[in-house]
Amino acid sequence: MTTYIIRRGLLTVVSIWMVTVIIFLLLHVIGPFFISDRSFNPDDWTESISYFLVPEEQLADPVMVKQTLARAGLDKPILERYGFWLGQLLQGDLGSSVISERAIWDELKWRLPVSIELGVVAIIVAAFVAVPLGALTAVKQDTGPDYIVRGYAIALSAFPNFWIATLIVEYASRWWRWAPDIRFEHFWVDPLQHLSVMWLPVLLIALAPGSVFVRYMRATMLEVLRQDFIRTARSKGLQEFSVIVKHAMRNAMIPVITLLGLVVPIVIGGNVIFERFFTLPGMGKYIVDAVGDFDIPVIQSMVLVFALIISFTNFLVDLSYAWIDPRIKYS
Amino acid sequence: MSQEESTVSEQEEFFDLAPEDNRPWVIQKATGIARFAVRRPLGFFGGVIVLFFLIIAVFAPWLAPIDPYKQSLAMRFAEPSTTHWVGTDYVGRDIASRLIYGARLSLFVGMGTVILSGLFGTILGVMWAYLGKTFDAFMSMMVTAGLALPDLVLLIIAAQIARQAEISEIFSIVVTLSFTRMWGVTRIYRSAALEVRSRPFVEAAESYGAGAVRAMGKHVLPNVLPLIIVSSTLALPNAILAEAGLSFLGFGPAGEPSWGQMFAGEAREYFRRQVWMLWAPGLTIGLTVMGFNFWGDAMRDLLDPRLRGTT
Repeated sequence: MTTYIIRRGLLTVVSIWMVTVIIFLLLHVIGPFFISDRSFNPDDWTESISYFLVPEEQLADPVMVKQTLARAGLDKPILERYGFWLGQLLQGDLGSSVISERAIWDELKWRLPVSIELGVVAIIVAAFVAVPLGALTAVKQDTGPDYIVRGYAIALSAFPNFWIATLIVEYASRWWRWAPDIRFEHFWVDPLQHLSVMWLPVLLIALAPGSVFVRYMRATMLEVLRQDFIRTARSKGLQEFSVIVKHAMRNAMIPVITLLGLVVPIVIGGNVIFERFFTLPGMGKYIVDAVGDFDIPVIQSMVLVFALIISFTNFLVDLSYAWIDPRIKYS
Repeated sequence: MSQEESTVSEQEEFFDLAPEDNRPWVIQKATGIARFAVRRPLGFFGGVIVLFFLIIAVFAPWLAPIDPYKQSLAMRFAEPSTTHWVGTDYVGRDIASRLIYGARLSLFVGMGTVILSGLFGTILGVMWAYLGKTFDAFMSMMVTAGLALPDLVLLIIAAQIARQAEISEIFSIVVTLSFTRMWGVTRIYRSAALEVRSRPFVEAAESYGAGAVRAMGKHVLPNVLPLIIVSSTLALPNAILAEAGLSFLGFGPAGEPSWGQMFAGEAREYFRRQVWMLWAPGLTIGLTVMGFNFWGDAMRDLLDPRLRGTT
């Protein structure tokens, strides 16, 4: 197990380095390549990136352009720029925004808890509602409850959740003159206000992972229910409830853990959309605003943070899976 | 699930193994389709929606009643009528025509993504199953990195770059979506190729001296093909949803009629005047995605019974 952990950990570290290369290529090589008026001149990275980065009204003033670029370390040649960024990262410094000039790390301290809370609570809510529902559909296969729950799950995976959000907000204001609370406060400042802002986004983000959980749980539960040990449990006279909850559901839930790797990117997408929709000060809103302003240091650190979160979950999922099923670590 | 079980005769029909049938071709096909409709009503329903969507998207310029870009202040918020099937929006554009052209954009993004990611995924996946240790290490590194990329965020960045550079945003969306989706596809196809490779007939071919390329092209690839078709059908609606989300955020193709963008941004202030601006695009997205999912599920049960019930 230890060698497996080390090997898988190394793979994670190397792949994160790979992610930095991909982001860097996208933002510093491919992007400016197209933007620099399609006349590609390798000596002219500074000029091309300034089109990319500096607000239009400043472009006329070369001194200002130079200052803006120098602050973000963007006036250097391409490789040096990558080295600069990587060196910064290794020292735990994410740099600072070109637009607001605030340190990214300071912003992150406030924004990371918001996004993590939205995502984690959404996944927990989805799991707590969807896993029992999925088990129920399997137990009541091909009856009313099965069709109703599956119908909902299918509809929720087809109708975009941002459309459902728009519907809810529109009709709540029309029928009950209710509008979502958007005066955000951190939990440690004003817990009640915090909850009144967060409950709706959390539920909306939970819809997508919820429908994934229901369908998957139903499939694994159906498989487990057909197995011999369930028949044994029934034939030794156990009550149906304890057969289903203690024997079947426990075993059916194990493969559902692996879904976490699949669900986290979906939830991050939900975060990005709903933090903007409800103007919550999380990382999703931060990066959308940064992309709008071409704030390269912010964009690259935020993509990296998201990639870190996803690969760390994938790492944990793989470990837990190897721990559950020991055959995996030998392959 | 009982009604969705695929029977032996059904697979025989699909792979043309059934006993010879002398009836005219048209009748054979018609009875086949009718049987499919009875056995898998959902799959058939999905197929009908998919076909409808394809026809609308391909023939958009002939089907759209009115120019989807034409604004008219006099015609703002028109009620549904014979000229404006679902009314007009806040600048007087015909919603039905915009939906029809939006199908075109969705189809292009969906198909482009599925084809590009499928192509690269197949090539990389099959190569990964075959080539040696160094490539194996490299690929597992690339796939781990690729799967860690947040796709919506990359899409926003790519769309913004494209907008700034005045190149086609649709193109950048397709390329980015393919790039982020490719790695999952690669991993699936690799394990399928490994599984096929361990079967006796491939071993036999290799022992007769078939080279790696021949074994891959002639024996492994045809056997992975059903999986490729199924996973592509199921991946297409995801690409459509991703494009809708991007457009909803305001980073979609500017000026292009897109389903996700029709109920976003400025439009949100006018739902009280024209409720179809909200309902029509959402219902269209939902129905299309549902159609593809039903159709894909039916295809999966038919083509690859081993995968039944995996989603």
